[in-house]
Amino acid sequence: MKAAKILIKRATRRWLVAFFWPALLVSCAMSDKATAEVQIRGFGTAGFVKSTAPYFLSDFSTNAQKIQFERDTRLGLNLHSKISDHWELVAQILSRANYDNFELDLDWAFAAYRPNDILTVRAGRLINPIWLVSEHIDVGFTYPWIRPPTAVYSLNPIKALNGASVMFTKNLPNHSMIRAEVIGGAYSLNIADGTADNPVRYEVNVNNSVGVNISYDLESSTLIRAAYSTADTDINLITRATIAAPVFGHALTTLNVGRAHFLSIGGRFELGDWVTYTEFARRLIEGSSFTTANAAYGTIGYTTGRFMPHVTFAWLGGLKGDLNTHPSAPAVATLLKNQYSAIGGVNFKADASVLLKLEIQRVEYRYRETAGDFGAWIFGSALDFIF
Amino acid sequence: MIQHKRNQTIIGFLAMLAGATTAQWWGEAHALAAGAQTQPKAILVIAHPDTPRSLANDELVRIFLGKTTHFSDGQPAHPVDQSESSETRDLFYMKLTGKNRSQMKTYWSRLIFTGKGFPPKTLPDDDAVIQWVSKNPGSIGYVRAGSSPKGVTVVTSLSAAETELNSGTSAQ
Repeated sequence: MKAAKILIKRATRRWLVAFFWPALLVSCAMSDKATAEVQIRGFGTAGFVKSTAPYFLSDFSTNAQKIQFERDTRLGLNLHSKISDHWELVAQILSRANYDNFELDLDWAFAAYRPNDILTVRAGRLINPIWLVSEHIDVGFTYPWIRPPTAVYSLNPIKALNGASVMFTKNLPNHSMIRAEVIGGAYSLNIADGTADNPVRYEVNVNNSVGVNISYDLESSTLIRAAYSTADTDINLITRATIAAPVFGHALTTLNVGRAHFLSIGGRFELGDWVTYTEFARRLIEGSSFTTANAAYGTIGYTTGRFMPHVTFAWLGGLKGDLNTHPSAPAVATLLKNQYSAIGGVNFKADASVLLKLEIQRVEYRYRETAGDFGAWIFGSALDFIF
Repeated sequence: MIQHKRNQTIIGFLAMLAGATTAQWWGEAHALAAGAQTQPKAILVIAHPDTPRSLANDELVRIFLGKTTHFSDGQPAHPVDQSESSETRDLFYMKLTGKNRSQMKTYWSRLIFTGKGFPPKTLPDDDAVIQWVSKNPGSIGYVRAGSSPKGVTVVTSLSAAETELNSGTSAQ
């Protein structure tokens, strides 16, 4: 039954990929107005990672003791069609590694109606704007790290929502602006993980999701942002009975997660040659062995010529909950209590569109009970580009 | 079998990435080597004759950064850019926003790949911009001073002397 469900979802996804793009092109071809146009752009990352531990970070069960190319390598294509002064169609497909192949997926696709500069209404598959860089998390070119600090970004793997959003924008002096967005929808994410010999598949279902985010953009260089969202969440393990590796910072055994709440506040500040990122995030799940989690990070980088060295300190912790009594989660006694990580990296801008990144990271885990403490080194490099 | 298929896929994928990157580098280097454009002394901002006769600097920034789709009088604004390797374009954005080519790429990437904004239509050179702007109501673009724009309104001019072109360093 579950296998059939997966096949239906895959067929739906292929249909969306096959249908939506030609629809965009046809919509452009049918219009001969000067305002109508279509733009095709892309982004990609070619990267590798190696860790001194089988599993790294509070991330999915990626085994990176051997040099692994799949973890960060991806290619995306974006198509934008401006049908009229008020209507736009946008779609993005993404190809990234699965445990046995590179899967092509419709990342997001939506129709947008913008009657004026204040109001934008969007409907379709939208990006779930939970964290500071969530909306462009696959575009490594747009942020300094090889991957955003997983202490925060692993707290919720749901990138998209099938639903609608209403966005209000108020322009302020000095080309600054303030924007508020309300978004609602549902999503089912099918995650294939593990290795070819030991595949793991599970799905994360999000229903009745509602969120709001407010951002302040100062002179197109500084962004301050706060967001809250809530959703009914459950996880279905499709293959394998248990997963030893951490998922969302926990060993995965639980199926019904519960009502989840996500809160974040953070900002990006570009001051001359300095750039800083900082973010605090909190996840609260009602009535579940998946406990409350807090996470934060701070990054500072300095641009000198084509180089930008940067450092990041991140923390995941504050875990609270009735860990040992939940009947569906016997293994959570080994839950992560705190995770500390330090990232040092150097970015080299080879070209206006090409960014080479080298990174080393130290992660320290503090477990709640029997597992003891644990640490790992993570080395990586990535070539990010846009076109 | 699965392992073999995966290796083939990875090799193909990486080859594609390398090809795309090399093609982009080659294209930009070729354009520069061909001396397609030299650094301009000043920039003229031109608009269709039906558009407002003068624009505040802040309004100009909003239009070219995709933060507004209308002129202050309510008329739809349709900005046009010059090619990405154009010195005229570099100077225009440096003067207007204080951002170099690389910073502008990052700015637009954060909008394009979230679906929240898209850069202006790109035209190859001054002549193409003048021709487009003169024919399309609401259009606004920029050209090098001295390119004798006809059939358009010169909204404002930006002098190169007040800024410094340097795509390798920050200018904020």
